[in-house]
Parts: sequence; structure tokens; C-alpha cells
Amino acid sequence: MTDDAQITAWALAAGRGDRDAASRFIRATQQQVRRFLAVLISPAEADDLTQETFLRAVRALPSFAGRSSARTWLLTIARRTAVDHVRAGTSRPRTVPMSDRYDSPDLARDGFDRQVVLERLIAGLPAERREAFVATQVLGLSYAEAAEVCGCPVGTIRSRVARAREDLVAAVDSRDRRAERRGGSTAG
Amino acid sequence: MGCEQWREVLSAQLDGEESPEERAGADRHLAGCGDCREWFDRAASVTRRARLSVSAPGPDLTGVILDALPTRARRSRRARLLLTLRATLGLVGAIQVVLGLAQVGRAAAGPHLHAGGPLASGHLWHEAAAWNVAVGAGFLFVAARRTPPTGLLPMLSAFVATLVLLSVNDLVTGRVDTTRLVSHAFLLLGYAIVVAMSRPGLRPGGPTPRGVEDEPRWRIHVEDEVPAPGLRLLPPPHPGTARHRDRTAA
Ligand SMILES: [Zn+2]
Repeated sequence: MTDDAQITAWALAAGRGDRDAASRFIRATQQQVRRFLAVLISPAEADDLTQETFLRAVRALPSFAGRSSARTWLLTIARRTAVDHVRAGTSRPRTVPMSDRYDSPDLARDGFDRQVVLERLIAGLPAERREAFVATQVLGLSYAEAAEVCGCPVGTIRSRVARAREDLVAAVDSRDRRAERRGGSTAG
Repeated sequence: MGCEQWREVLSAQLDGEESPEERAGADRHLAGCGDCREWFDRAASVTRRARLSVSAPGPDLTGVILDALPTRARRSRRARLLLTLRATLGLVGAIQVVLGLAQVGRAAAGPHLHAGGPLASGHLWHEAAAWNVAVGAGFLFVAARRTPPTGLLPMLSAFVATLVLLSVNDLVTGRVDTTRLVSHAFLLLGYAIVVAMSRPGLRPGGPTPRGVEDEPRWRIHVEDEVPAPGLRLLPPPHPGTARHRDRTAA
């Protein structure tokens, strides 16, 4: 991963009209933005939202002052784009993550599908906990950076991440218990 | 401190965001609380898996995004050009007004100052001065307003065309001195700018350089707006989606 100082330097140069710096900036950050949006909204809409985020960012680059890192600045815009997207009601209704398909014990034992299950559980978290959890765990931001991205105090991020963990532990627990019950009934 | 609060500390610990005192306290609590020990293990495993989650990398969007840039650059060039034209026109208008007023002053000082023959005397001289002031005021008006100047065009065109024809004639017959003709250069320049500003591509009230649909809801500084120094794009303090469940928990 390219370091923050380099990305910020590209962003500043891009803001002064350097196209080459702009393309480096986009290339270095687009996957992280896409990942953020894929977990925050949905993988299917991630490409469109990533593009929208960068169009907004590129437009705002001349006013980027470099006081925060360009990465958190960009993720702030990505979050805003996600919030607007949900508010505009264009987001597809989120299905409750516990779909029957994923309740099959065979699928749940498979590593890949366990991952899919977890991602669905994350997708089912309340919006504020989800963004705090995704920013700190999936993107690996510090609490301070996540607070900047989400526009809230560090303490709030800390409590939201903890609540998200509690929700996830509880959800995984209840799923495991159900899977066990079902496994037991087929065996006996 | 109840288990719930300790779990917040344990959660922070999984992210390396706890203080040494908190860590010591949490260790003591874990030693005596089996539920929290179990929760800590599960939370650690969920965390590991969440951090592992890798989505397939998406397509490279660099080209698509940069392709959206040139039009914007062109638009901002157009905005800059328009601003330059308006500034120049304002200057020309001011000069024209000053020249007209000076003409009135000189007429008052005495008609023989000018070598313009019959025109240099009496009321005709005043009338010419009034025309200069009027045209200058017209230029200033166009420069100050953001509306297309098309309404001024027919009269200005007729005035300029007539003046050019008469000037050429006067020059040939030696009835005008060159300094007087130089002052007409301002008029021609102003006229050229008004014509340019009437073209659809440059019309101040013409197609707006900003998209409507894709305009984000917060304020972004673009084009001729001067960016405030040090402005950061932080979201508003109260995000609209805020559900306040966490606040009570915090
Ligand atoms: Zn406990």
C-alpha cells in the first residue's frame, strides 16, 4: 500500500491541475474506496459509487488543503456518497442477512461461505456501527482516522465498534446454534 | 463497571486502542469473569475474519474518472475567459466614459482645441461626447451584468459601422487627426468583446458550467469561486442517517 504522505502529495499536486498526479492518486486509492463502499452499501453498487466518489473528490481537489491525510479526506467523501445514496432511496433494499440459503450447515462449514456469511452479518449492522466497524476493521483505520471519516468523536467510534462486535458475536453465536440444531436433527 | 463496559475496553484492546490502565483492569476482570473471557475469544475470531475479508478488486476507474476532467477544465477555461472579457470590457467602458467627459470639458475650454473642423464646435461636439459617455455606460452595464448583451448589439453595430466608414472617409480627406482615431480603438475593442460575449458558447447566462444531477449536497468550490483557505470536507456534525441507538449505549 502506498503511504499516506505520498498519496497526500499526489492529491495536492492534482488539486493544482497535475493530471499525472491525479491519475496516480486515483490508482492508489480506488480499491480501498471500492472496498469501503462494497461493504457499506453492496458489492453490486460499489463500482458506480466509487466512480461517483472520485468525481466528487476530483471536483473538490482544488480546495483540499492537506491538513488531514488525503486518504481520510477521500474516505470522508466516499462515506458522504454512501449516505446520500441511501438517503436518495436508490439503494436496493438490504435483505436481512440470515437468508435460508446460508443456513445450510454444509455451506456454513465451508471457509469461503463463512466469509460470505460474516460479510452479510456486517451488512446487516445498523448504519453507524457498520461504518465504524468497516472503517476500523476492513480498512484498518485508527479510531482517530475513523472518527474523522465518520465526523464524530473518537469515543463514539470506540463504542460503536464495540457494539458492532457484540452484534456480530451474538449473530454468529445464534447461527452456530441453529446450524448445530439442524445438524443434530439430520443425524438423529 | 459492568461487563458491558469491560467489553468496550476489550474491543478497544483488539484494535490496540486501549490505555495501559484499561488493559490492566480488563485483565483483572477477565480473570474473574468466564462470560467475558468467552466473549473476548469470539470477538477476536470475528475480528480476524472481518479483517481477512477480501473483495475481488474492481476495474481500474482511473481513465473513466479522468475522462470526466477535460470537459471540466474546458469549462473552467471558458469561465476564466469570460471573466477576463468582462474585466476588459469594464475597463474599456470606464475609459470611454472618461474620454467622453473629457470631451465635454475640452468643449467648455474652447472649441479651437480640436482639429476636427466643424464637428469640433458647439452642440455637435457635445452630442458626440454624449455618445461616447453613453457607449461607455453601455459597456460598463454589460460588464457588470451576467445577462447576455444581445440587446445592445444592433445599435452598437450600426454605430460602429457608421463611425468606421466616416473615419475612413475623414482620414482619406484629412479631416481628422490620428489621436482622435486612436480613441476609437477603445470603442472597437469594447464592441468586439460585446460581440464575443453574445456568442452562445460564451454567453454569461448560457449553459451553466456545473452539472445539476451530480452536484453533491455539500458545498464544493469550483471554477470562479475562490476556495476558502484550509477548508476541509468534513461531513456536517449531524449526519442525516444518525440513529441514536449508540448514543445511549456510549
Ligand atoms: Zn464480564
